[in-house]
Formats: sequence, C-alpha cells, structure tokens
Amino acid sequence: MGPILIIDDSDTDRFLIKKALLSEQTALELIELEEGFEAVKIIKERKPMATLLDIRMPGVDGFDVLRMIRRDPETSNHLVLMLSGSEEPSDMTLAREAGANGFLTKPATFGEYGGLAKAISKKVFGAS
Amino acid sequence: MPHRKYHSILDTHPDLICRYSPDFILSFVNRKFAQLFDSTAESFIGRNLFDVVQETQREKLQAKLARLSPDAPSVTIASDRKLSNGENIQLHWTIIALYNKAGKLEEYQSLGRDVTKENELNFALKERNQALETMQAEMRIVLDSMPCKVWYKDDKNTILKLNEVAAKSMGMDIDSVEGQNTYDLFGDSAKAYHDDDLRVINSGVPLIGHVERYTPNDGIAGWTQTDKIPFNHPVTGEKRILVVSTDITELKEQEALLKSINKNLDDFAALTSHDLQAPLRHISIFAELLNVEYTDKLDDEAKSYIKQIRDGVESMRALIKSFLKFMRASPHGIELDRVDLTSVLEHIAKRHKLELMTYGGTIKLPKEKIFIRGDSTLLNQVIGNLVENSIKYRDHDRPLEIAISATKKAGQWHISIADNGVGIDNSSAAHVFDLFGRAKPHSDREGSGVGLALCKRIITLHGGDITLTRDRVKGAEFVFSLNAAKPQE
Repeated sequence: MGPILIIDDSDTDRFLIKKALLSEQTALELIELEEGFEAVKIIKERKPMATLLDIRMPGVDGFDVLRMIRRDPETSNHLVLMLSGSEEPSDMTLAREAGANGFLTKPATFGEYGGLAKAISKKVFGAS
Repeated sequence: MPHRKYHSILDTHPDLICRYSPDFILSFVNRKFAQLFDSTAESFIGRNLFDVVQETQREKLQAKLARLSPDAPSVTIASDRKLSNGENIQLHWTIIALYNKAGKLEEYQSLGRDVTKENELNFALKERNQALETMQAEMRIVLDSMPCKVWYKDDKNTILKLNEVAAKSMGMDIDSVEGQNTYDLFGDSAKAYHDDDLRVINSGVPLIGHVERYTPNDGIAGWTQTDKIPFNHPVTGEKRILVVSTDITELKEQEALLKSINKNLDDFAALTSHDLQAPLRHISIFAELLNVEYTDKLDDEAKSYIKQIRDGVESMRALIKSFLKFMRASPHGIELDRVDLTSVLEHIAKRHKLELMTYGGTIKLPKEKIFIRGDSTLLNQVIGNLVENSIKYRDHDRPLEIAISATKKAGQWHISIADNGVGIDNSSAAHVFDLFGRAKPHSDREGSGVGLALCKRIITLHGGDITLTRDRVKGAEFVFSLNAAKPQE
C-alpha cells in the first residue's frame, strides 16, 4: 500500500485528517506538505496512491497545484481529491473543471471525520 | 376753369380732397369728402374750412397751417372724426400750400386718407410682435433653465437653437453658435455625432438614453446620456432633430464606486466564509476530542464548560451563515417568476404546525388566492423569518396568535403578518431592519439579528417595501408589498 500525500497549509487540518485516516487504516504512510510548489516533484519521487489537496492556501492555491499535476505527463493521471473548508458550490464546480477526481468538505465535527476517512479510503483503495 | 377737366378724377378718388383760399374759403371738395359729412360737394363751396373742422381740432389745424412757408409748403396732420353712424374713423391729412412766384400764398390743397384700417392692422401687428417676443423670451428662459444641454439642428447640421448649458459646454456663447454648422465649429470631430443624427433624422426613430463618453471644452472627460428626437418643422415640413443631453459623470462614478463596494463585499463574504469558519471548526472539533478522548479525566463541570464552548461556536457559525445569506441575496438582481404565494404561506404554516401546537398557538392564513411576481425561495425565507420571529417573540402570558392577511391595491399585494407577542417598542422600531439591529429588550432571545435586514433586502430586490407598523397596542405587525401577477400568465 503506497503512501497518501496531504497538502494543506493548516497544521490543525493535517493533524485531524491524519488522525482520522490512521484510525481507519493504521498502517497507512502519510506524506505532509504545507504548500504545493513541490507537489509534482514529490509525487514523482514518492509515488503516493493519492493526494489530498486543500483548495484555499496562501500563494499557490489548490487549483494551481492541481493544474501543475495535470500538466505533467508523468503525474497527469494521479488521483487527486480536493478538500475545502466550505461547501461553496463554486469551489465544487472549479474543482471538477480543474480535473479533480473528487471533492470533499472538511467536517465540522470529529465524528464526521470518520465518514471522511472512509470516503477517502474507498476512493483510494476501493475498500469501504 | 382749366382744373375742371381733372374734377371727375378727383371726384372719384378714394381719398378726401379739398381746396381752399388763403382765408380758408372752400372752393372745391370731392365726392368722398362730401360723403364723410353726409352732404353734397356743392354745399361746401364758399364755406369757411374752420366751420367744417370739428371744434376740438381747430387749434391744432391752425398751428400746423401757421408753419407753412414757401420753403416748407406741406404739413401732415392726424385727426379723427365720428361719423353719423357712430363709427369713429382716423384720417391722415396732407396739407399743401401753393405759392406764386413772388412767394405769395394763393391756395391750400388738402388730401385726407382714411387710415382707420391701416392703424388697426398696425396695432394688431404690434401686439402680435410683442406676443412673439414674449414667447421667444419665454422659450429662452425655459431652455436656459434646463440643467441639461438642449439644442436642435436641421438636416444640414446647422444648430438652429441651443441653451446656455449647451453653449457653455462648447466654450462659446449662444449667439456665436446659433445658425452655425457644427463642422465649422468643431471640424471633423463633428462627423461622429452628425452620422448618429442623420440616422435618427432619416429613420424617424428616436435614439433614447444613448450613453457615451464626452470631453467638453474644459477638457475633463465625462459621461453623457443623450436623447435624439426627430421632428418636422410645423410649416415647411423640413427635417429637424432635437437633442437633449445630460451629464451623468457623477452617476457613472457612483456606479463604479458601488461596483467596487459590491466587489469588496463579495470578497469580504468569501473571506468570512473560509477564514472565519476554519478556526471555528477547529475550536469545535478539539472541544469534541477533549470531551471524547478525555472523558474519564473530566468532571461534570469541565464537561459543561466544553459544552459552553461548543454552543458558542454553534451560535457563531449560525451568525456567519445568516450573514453570508444576507450578503449573497442576489446583489445583482433576481429573476422574477409568477409565484403562488398562497401555497408558500400554506407550506410555511404546515412547517410550523407542530411547534405552534406545543405553545397552543394558531396561525391564520388569508382566504384570497395570491399570485405575485417574485422568487419563491427568497420569499419563503422572508415569510419564514417573520413567522419564526412571531414564535420567538411570543408573549408567554397568552396563547400566540399569528394572523396573515392580504389586500390588493394599485397592482400590488400588501401582505400583513401580525402577532400578539411582546411587540417592538418605538425606540427599537427604527433599527429593526438594520444589519444586526435586533430590538434590545429581547436580546436575550436567540437570533443573529440578520433576519429582518435580509427580509428588507429581499423585498427591496423584488421592487417592494417592508414596514413595521408603529404604535400597536400589543404584538408586532410587519407589512410588505409585492407586485401582483396575473392569475393565468
């Protein structure tokens, strides 16, 4: 089982996703990035199974990172799930247009993080 | 007598003719003269002229005759005479004194012309000219009082008339522009405007509300809104064009400012949506984790503190949500459809039925079928909000009664939502529609304060109005208006 790359500028959000994913898949390896400049390089080097990509980040935002990933022939088919702190319909549309494989909203309670981890596992590993 | 052969000509002459000696004894009067006195020509021969002249005119005649000399042998004199039929006529006399070679006066000849009609015509003409001058002066005042630029031209591009504002914007005075061709005044830059004018003149279709950039003579560019209206000269039928142009630079600047404010508000809304929600989410989740993962280590008081933290976060989240709803209630206008408002009201009443039953409350709906033009989702929010307010601010001492009624006047439905709750006092009434302007005495009750501001914004977007009825003895009443739609559209 390959690693999962998490790109999010918020330490807290990375911590919460990590916590939820590890309680779902204890043996999971996670790579963390605070910003997306190096995303393509890391994906090529570490070959993660998927990338969880936050939309709102200072400087290069999630959409820019996704475009960089899609432009490079080596990473163009890489599985990318976008994460947003809000349920903005425009974010969902933009994510789809930019070529995201999925759009997930960061939950408001930790209880819901369990569901998010399950949804991610299903998309990445095909297991429920 | 050698003059006799001319007598027949003189006799039939339309003017009054008479001859008299230096001592004023009449030797000849023509037929017209005699007719004026209702007498025969012969009856005057041998009579003194002053016996014939009216007494009031004698002194004037004498003075005039005294002025005559070989060097100035003629005078004119105006007189009027009342005829036997009561009619008053005005006569213009020319008196000629005939002198012999030695300069001795031999005879007077007088020629009198009836100028009654001519005087009347002159008087009428004078009056008409005065009226015309007054009208022109009035038109000038009207034109010059207009704050916009006004002028009209013929199809050859000659400015026939313009007002002061228009002349000033060209940097000229009215007299130096009227009658001038705009090509002579402005050269080739007149062409663009002239092309537009010709299109209007030739098509006969007015160009209304045409907005364009314009640089007046002071060089400061601005915006104008122009109406170009073709018309034909009422007598000659020649083609003309009336141009009315208003400076809307200030309006345009305000529009741009408003756009930038709206953009800032949109940005602010986006910022609120994302940047405020993230820390809230974190506070809530970590409070939850603390409660779940350290439940054994926390006593009941600590747990109640955690609950307080989470409740506070929930209120803040609701506030942000309401605020966003307010910010996003279609700032750029809404699409209006035919809405069956009766169904919307029934739906809302049904939604609150259970809650009302708990309080022993009732809700009364209007009997009329109400069709309006609007957005049903937004109106659902407005009515829902007002009903929820009635429930929230109910008087615990009596069962809640909500009465919704509707009246139609002048193409609008006026919907009233009244309750018998605690009401709103007059000091708070002025601020109920302000953003976060919740009535103070009840600020302990739940609510974000965005609700009524949102209602007002939605109703305003519908082209209607919402008011709070003042000075009610008990309870509160809100009335809002919406444009009526036809039952079958």
